[in-house]
Amino acid sequence: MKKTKLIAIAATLLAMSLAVGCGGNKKAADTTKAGTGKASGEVMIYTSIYPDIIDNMCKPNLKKAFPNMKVNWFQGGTEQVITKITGEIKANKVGADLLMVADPSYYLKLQKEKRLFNYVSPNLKDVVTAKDKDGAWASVRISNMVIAYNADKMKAEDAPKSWKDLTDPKWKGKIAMPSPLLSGTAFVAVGALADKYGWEYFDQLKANDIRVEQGNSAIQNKLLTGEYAAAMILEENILKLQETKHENLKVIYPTDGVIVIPSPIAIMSTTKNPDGAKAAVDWWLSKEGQQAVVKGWMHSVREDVEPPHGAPALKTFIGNAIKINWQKLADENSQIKEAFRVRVME
Amino acid sequence: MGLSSKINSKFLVISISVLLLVYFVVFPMGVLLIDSVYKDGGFQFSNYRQVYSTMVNWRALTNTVQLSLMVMVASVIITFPLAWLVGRTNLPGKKIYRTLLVASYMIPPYVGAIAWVQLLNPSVGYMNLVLKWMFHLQNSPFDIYTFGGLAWVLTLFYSPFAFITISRAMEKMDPTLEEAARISGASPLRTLRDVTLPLMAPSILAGGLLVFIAAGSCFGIPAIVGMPGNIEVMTTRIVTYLYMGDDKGIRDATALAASLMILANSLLFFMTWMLGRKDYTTISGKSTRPNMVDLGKWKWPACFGVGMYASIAVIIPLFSILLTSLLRSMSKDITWSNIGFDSWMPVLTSAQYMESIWNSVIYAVIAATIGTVLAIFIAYLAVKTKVKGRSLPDLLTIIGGSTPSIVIALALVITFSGTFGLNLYSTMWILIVAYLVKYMTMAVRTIAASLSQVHVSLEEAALNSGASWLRTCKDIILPLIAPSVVAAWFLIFMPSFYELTMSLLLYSGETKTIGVLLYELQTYADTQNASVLSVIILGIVLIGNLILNKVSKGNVGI
Repeated sequence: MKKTKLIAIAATLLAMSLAVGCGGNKKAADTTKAGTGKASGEVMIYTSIYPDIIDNMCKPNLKKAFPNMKVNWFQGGTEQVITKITGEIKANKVGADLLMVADPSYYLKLQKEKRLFNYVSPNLKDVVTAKDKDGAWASVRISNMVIAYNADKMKAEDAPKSWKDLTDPKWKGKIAMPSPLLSGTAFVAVGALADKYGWEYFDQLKANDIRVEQGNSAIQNKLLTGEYAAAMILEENILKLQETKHENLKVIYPTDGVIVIPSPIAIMSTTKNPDGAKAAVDWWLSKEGQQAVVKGWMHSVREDVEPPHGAPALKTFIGNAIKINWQKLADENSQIKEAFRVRVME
Repeated sequence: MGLSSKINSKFLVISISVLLLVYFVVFPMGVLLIDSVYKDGGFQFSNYRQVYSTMVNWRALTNTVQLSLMVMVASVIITFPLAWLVGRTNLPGKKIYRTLLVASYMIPPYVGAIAWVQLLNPSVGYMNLVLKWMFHLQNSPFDIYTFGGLAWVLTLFYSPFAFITISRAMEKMDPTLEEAARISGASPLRTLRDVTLPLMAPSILAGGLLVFIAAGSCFGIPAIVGMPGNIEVMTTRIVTYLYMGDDKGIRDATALAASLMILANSLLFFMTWMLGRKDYTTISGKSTRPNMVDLGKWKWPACFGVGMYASIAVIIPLFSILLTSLLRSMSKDITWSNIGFDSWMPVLTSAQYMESIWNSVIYAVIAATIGTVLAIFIAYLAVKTKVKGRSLPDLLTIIGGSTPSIVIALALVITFSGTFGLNLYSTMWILIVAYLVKYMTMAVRTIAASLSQVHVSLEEAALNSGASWLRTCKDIILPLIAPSVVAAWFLIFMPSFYELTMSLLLYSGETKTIGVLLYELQTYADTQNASVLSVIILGIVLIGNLILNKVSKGNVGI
């Protein structure tokens, strides 16, 4: 405990000294405040956004918006990125200026440890989903955990309608979900469902021989081949398959509530280029940045941006979404994972 | 002058190799070990108590040991007769079989795991469907998501280690003992049982332990095959702890990793100790050519049997991956109209795929080049000199090779992120160091084997004529061992090229490798694109192996 406190102090000191060190730079930026297009230097973004979206949408658009700033990317699964950052925090060498992963509870943890830089972006007012009032973080893209099935292999009326339906014995041995131990979004889903239905819900899934897979890709693939009849999966995976490969997979928005996961963006307190990082946040929350998000089959955090191709508008199902206690997920991370492992994976 | 420069250059080169090994192999592992017991300013074993008070970690440990034992025994049982048939009999087509039997060494294990899941999953596995149709079965005969399924895939992918070791020893075995038994009237089978088998025992043990260590350190196969079947092993537990995303997770992972390292290395020392006592009995000093056994009427049945095994182990899974990459829709049946290059286009036209392939090629080339140069010195030191402690560097590379990849990666992250001066974190060098630590031992083995066949008189002649030691190396020794040097280079290049487990923990924004990309595609994105990438990897590796075979004139097939 004492150690982490020391590290936190060291990190803040480091941040302060850097801020002082970069004073000259900052002034230069201030004089040209007129446009964020003047942001310069380098910005490192750690993200779990899919690599093809980064390559096709984010890289070219950010380059156009900030011709003088070099934007570097580290891309990996949410848990991979978190592992990397954890190691970097331990070594006191955080490489990220911006963090964009799909587990909101992790941001609460970072915020509590004072590792996030407060910034109220002018675009923050347009963000209709979760955001921190001090600007430590703001949701930047919405992923939804849903149920999916293969319409080539099953009729719509036979498909499950709710999370509760998955406990019906008729799905025994035919359903799957991603592992919360290895996937950040699955962790959120497990926490949410355990809160709503109690851990007995997972006992029932276990009794129904639910398969726990490494990640969403294995599940979408096995839905295609018919290995699984229905599965818990991210909406964006299915929308992408529908549009790019014309596969007949269908999304079910469960009647007992979609698990809406507002993935945040935040600036790390150790950033060496706060102006560049701020400019990048502004861009992500702008209409243009949000269009890149939607092109990646995720929902926008703004109301003035269309939903992704093939999906209903967020507001049609967000009202009925499962309420998630993010603070609890942040505080009980390892307990939730362990409870799931003991109940389902043994 | 001649004498002093000889000693100096030799001494310099050798001490640099030793220092490098100590710094990059011994030091990180020591740091990891200390890190696992050092907490709150003192030494204590609370981390270990903590992780081993959880049932699942015990089960992961027993699963790992059990599984590795099963894979080891199965590998020896399968590869011993195969090695005998290919090495010591007049089996038709044995050259092709030899290549096929070691081919699974070239296939990235996780690629093979994906293929076997496609073939043997209980609901729609291709092979299960065919068997159901052929024998009118109600249920699928096989389920890949079981302990047995996991052991099966691990056996197929790691038995080449046993095959290579056993067949090498078998071909170098002194045949006079066998001849004596035959002359005394023993049948070929009796000779095999009473003479060949006991003589081969140390090599069988060595090969088996290599398999044991490799199976126990593997992450890709248990992650893909074991997880849906709820089978936890040490490597998957370590990754789970790392993914907890807090300090405690890293500490728990370190404790587990340290135990895995201790397990693997004590086995290794056991093996060295056993072999140190016994190895000389099997291999005679002179190069001998064992006589070939005539299989007689068993010739064609044996050929058919080996062929069946080779096609199940290598050809069918490869075909399955190729087929997946060519399907237009995974949800439709396999028909000609459903075959096309649709999944290939996004891969071939994407900048990030090509970038990852390039990264991997570059890092593997650098690792292979540095590794080969070091391996030459290390092998020379061990085989050609009488210096005290001459085999120490060799032993250090063996330790690196037998340490589970995930442990190496963890140790390198902790050690080389600047805490102790050198900061390689997020650079390509940390990846290259990791590849070197893990794969250099195979190169040292290969070069040492061929160096031991170069007679010392040639070197002495050069030295007596006034050549310096370095000059002697360059002009006399290197040309003589050139084929094995090339082989050594590829032995490092190929596994580095498709490496996954270490790269996953060590890559950065600029240094994403092909293994990482493939894992991501398989986990988060698109399985078909993953198959395409696998086919590309296999293509590159196969071409590499063909070159290797050509250059070494078929002597150093892997």
